[in-house]
Amino acid sequence: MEDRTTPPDPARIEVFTQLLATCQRRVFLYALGLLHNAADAEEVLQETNLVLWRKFDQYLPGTDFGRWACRIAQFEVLRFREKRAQAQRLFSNRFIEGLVEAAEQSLDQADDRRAALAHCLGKLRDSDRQLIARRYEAGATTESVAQAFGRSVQGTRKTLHRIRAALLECIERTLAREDRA
Amino acid sequence: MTQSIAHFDELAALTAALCDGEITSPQAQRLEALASQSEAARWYFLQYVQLHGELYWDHAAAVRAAGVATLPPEQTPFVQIAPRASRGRQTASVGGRWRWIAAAVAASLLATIAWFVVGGLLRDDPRASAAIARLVKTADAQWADAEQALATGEDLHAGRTLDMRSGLAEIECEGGTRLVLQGPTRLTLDSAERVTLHGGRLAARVPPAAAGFTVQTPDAIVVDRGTEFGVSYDERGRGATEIHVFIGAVEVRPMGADTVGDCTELLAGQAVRIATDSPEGKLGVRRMPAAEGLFVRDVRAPAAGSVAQLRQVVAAHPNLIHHYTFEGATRAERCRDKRGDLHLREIIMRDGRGGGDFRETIPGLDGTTNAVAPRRAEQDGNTNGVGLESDAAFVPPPEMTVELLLRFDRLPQAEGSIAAAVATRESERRCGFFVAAANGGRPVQLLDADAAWLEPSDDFVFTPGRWYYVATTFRVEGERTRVSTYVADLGRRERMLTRVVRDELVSGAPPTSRLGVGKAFDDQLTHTYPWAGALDEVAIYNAVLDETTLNGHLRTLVR
Repeated sequence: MEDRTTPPDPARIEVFTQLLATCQRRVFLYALGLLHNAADAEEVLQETNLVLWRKFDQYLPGTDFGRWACRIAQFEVLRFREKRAQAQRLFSNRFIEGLVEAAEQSLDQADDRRAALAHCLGKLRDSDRQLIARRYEAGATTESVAQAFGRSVQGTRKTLHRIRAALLECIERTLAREDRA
Repeated sequence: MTQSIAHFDELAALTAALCDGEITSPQAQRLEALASQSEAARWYFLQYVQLHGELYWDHAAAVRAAGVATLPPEQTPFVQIAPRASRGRQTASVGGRWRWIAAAVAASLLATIAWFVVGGLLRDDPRASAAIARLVKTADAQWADAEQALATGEDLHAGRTLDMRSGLAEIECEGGTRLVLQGPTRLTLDSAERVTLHGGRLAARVPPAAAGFTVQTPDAIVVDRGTEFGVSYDERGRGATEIHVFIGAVEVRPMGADTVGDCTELLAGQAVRIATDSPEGKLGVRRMPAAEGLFVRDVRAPAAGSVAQLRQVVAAHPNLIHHYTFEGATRAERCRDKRGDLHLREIIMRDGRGGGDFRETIPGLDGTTNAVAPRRAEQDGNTNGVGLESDAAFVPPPEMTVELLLRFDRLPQAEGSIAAAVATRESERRCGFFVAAANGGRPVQLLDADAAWLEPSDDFVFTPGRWYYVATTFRVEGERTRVSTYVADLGRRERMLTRVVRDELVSGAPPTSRLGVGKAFDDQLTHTYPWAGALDEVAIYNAVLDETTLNGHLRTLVR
């Protein structure tokens, strides 16, 4: 544990800063895969960052910092769920435990999937890309997107789902092609 | 290696609803079942959620990062370790952007950064964005996370989730909308014009300039039209939303499994209950009159005394053995014995069968606490009384005091009906009506079904709709019991107890059986009618408390 009364070593902070910057998205996605709510996943990401710093002396240089961070994030996810009343949890603990293994497996593909997503976003129609961009603006909701585009909420919901499903299929096709190559 | 993705239409639609924050509890159950069917289904579910996360991260989070990037390095706080907006096939290498942060670390910001790091402020500082609301008043507010307890006057930012276990909190949004949250309530402030109610109860007062203010629950979207209204979301079972309009009008749009229902306009005095009434997620919409009494619309500090103060005094009493405050974030917590292990559960009073729908959280005496309201619940097309009963048998001590706050709203419907606030019943004859109402709202006791009801010596009657402090003491003397009953009309702010039953010796002794709270009976002693009104702060002591002590308890409520 860092002595809170003395400033930390600047070189150590720099190393930590650099390592932390490399894994933020990965930890967020990992947490989101288990919590299914972006705000909750961000909260867990923040808590994980704090724990990473506190435990930084346990990190073995040269090993995969992101994987270590995700292991810590896993505990933070469980802690987060424990704090939340049972009635507020959408899914059972058993289901979440089943997802952990898949989420870890997913880590291995994270970079490839992100690259494939960029490729697939480029293939979208302009109108679909604009819709997605609007949907993921800070504070946006399906209703606000519908209002902005002058569409019905139900229609917008369906379109967003269609685009995401199409992106997912495109990513899988792209990765499958790369596997064959 | 990639995993094959089959066509998971329903799974995909439900996952989309999950990602958009629009999923209902039954839909979530269905989603879990579908995603658990196979490894491929689980993988698809996870990839869909993570795709949503990638898009979220790239767009929403990158906006915040972009805002920071415009600052010169020396103003960039360490906390802004933020997502990169890049999407290409980049490995997780440290880009130049992070190098200058690191340089800043090494150079001039050591002290500041050390403070951020050591002080645990690696998290995004919510104060970096503009506040959209402010906590203006609270009354006995207890927050779920003590570390994140809010202070009056504190600014609130978009995305903030408030999790209040009990008490009241009033929030003023930018634009002038005022929200009164009544614990237990969990709410996310999406923006100054929109909130998401995850569970609990709120009352909204929206000025004309802020018309369009929206409250979303898992079942419905409520859009204000310049008015005053209340929204509750009950998370139990499949969940249920109620919207009650006090002034003006609102638009209500039910949210089904895959579709959005027709918009309904509600006017002042009208209410609607929207609940998922089938496993497929089909919504039922039922209109009803608005019930203003369910919502606290103004946070006022108790002028003199409070239920919370009574609770503290009661909890500190050495002879207290069972204590039901009906506070807590969950149903189990609300039914928990806060002193002993005699926990309560809901029970439908038809053949003693359990289950049912119990409206246990309504405003208590001073609005800062919750009371329970037994009622007739719908089941299989009929209505049945619903009350509370202990899981285990209650063994009454030979000396006992039963103390509570009660509101008696109306008389039971059938002639000769008895409304029991606190009771046990061992057999047809051996009964223990410790606090009950009969004969036009008279407080009564009965310990032997063959004996006459013990009634006040004067003409005292509970005035419907008014809160009372009531305490009854019991001292067993052989096969008989000496009983005294004290009452105070809290509506009239009575500061001294009236002893309406004075040391009367009655036949029988309090029998051992499950403890009933809010159960009632007709003249055949059939479990039929629930307590007609509200109950709160039920306390049982293993001693006969004297009048001075009980008056001391009363004065915590009325000063």
